[in-house]
Amino acid sequence: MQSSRAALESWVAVGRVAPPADPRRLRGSGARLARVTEGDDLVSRAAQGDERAFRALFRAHRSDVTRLVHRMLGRSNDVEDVVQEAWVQVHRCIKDFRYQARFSTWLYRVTVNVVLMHRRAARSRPTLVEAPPTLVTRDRAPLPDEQVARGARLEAFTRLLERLSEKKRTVFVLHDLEGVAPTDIAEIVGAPVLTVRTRLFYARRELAAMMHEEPTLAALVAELEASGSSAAARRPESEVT
Amino acid sequence: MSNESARIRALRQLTEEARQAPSPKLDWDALEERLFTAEPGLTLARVTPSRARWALLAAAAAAVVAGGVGLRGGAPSQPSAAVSEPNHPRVFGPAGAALDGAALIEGDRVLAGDAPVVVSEPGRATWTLAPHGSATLVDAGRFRTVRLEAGAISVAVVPKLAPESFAIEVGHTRVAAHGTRFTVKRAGERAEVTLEEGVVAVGASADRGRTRGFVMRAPSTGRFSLDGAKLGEVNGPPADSLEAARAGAEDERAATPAATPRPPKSTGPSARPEPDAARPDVPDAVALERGAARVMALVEECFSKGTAAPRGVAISARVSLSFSVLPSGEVAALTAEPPLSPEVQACSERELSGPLFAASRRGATITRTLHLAR
Repeated sequence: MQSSRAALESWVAVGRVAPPADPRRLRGSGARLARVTEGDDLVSRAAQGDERAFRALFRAHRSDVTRLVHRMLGRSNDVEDVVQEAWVQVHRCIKDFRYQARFSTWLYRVTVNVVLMHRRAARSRPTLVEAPPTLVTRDRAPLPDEQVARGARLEAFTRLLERLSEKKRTVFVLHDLEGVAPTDIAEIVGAPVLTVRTRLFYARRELAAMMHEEPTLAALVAELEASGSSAAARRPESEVT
Repeated sequence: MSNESARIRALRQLTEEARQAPSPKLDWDALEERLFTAEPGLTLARVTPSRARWALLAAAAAAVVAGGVGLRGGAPSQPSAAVSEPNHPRVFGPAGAALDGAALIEGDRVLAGDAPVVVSEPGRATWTLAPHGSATLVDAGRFRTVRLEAGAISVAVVPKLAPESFAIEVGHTRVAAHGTRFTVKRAGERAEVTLEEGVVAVGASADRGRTRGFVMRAPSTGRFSLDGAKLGEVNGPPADSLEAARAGAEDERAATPAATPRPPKSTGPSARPEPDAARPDVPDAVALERGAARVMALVEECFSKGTAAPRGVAISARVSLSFSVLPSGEVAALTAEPPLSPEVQACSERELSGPLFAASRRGATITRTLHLAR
């Protein structure tokens, strides 16, 4: 248990999947965050009502906002609506941006708030449209295509994410998926850094614990366990030889 | 290797896969269009300095498409009254007696000479600019708005559940119609509103589409300053505040009671009476849900009836349905995003006439997601 706890806490230090603490060093999709121009002329012009500047900001960061909304909303079909609402809020509030935080942090905070508001509103109304979650039946036959398998795993993973509390899911998405540093997350969610780390730890632990409830993920765990066991079993032989 | 360790490895792998998963591709052009131009009252187009540039672009595009402005019922020479100068507002009149309002674009100005000018906008409103009056179309979008610079305008608005489908602004005072016949007259530094039929909300013009302030019910007359404040008494029946039906929609898009209405201004013995004290402050939650279900059922029925589908073809749509419950229990301002077809919208508005909710003092705003299938 001690070792797994350490593993959950030291995620950042672990190899290629570790989200770097500094968003500027992010790879892949998260790297786009680094292009957020901090406190630059564009932001100040947009804050003064320059529509062209705001359009430029919109075009520069719409993908970042969309990605975050998509990851936080999960399977919802409301991504486009929420993205639009987020930008409306950004427009309304940008004049209040005081450069006390980086623009990227502020933008994420606005987006997170809009998503959380949307989720709260969605909870309070009858859901007449959501199809029941696609049940992934256990299929022991080999998957025909790795892409299909990956898609099924992501579906299942999304379902698990939705079961986390808002606070834990927000921190998990921001840190592990978006690669935002804990100090920035603390600003975004308005909580101490220590609290952010605690939420992250418990989010990971809960996700790991829930995996057996999703057949696709349980199969992945079993596969990794088997490969780990066989590797361990092979190790003495290789040492002998 | 323990099972727990395998789970952690699996979680790392999943996290990595989720990080690499592509984001949904949105229709950026459409989104940008909606944000910047389509709903000026709600969104970004309130940035007025730059908005003029976009309006000019729209004007240029409209001019190309329409090939000019058609006049209705007037002499052939009347179109020449329009001064079409690129990058400049077009001016109509004072020769014209009738104008096709659908051909007007934002920034167009209408002047009346010795005779009134009648501007017809089919399906929306007909407005008449009194002799020697001057008005400018300042919003040609969803919340069509005409600014009255001089004189008087009489308006007959086609009843609609959509909020503020037509409004007149005088200075910074906004008179927003909710299915109405009314007249607005600019008299120096005040606006005089005469309401013959329906309801208007009069308030500051800052928020198009969500006018807050004083609600007049017909028949009544009232005077207002040019910044939206009521001057003296409004002669007419008491009116509940429409704020309750408007506020809160922005922050809480759920079935929540709307924001606290502004207390009625007490101006002595003649102040308008308080709303019926026997009414609950907000509708009962259970009744709200029941009513909301009924509204959704009616809209579904209209969708089913008003949507043509070839045999064997299933049509489905997912919409976010918003509407206000007025203190009287009537449904108002029914909007859907994405919008319903005109037939379905019209059917829904027809079906939703009359009180569907219990009367309350503050009303409510309700948003629901609806899955329509045919």
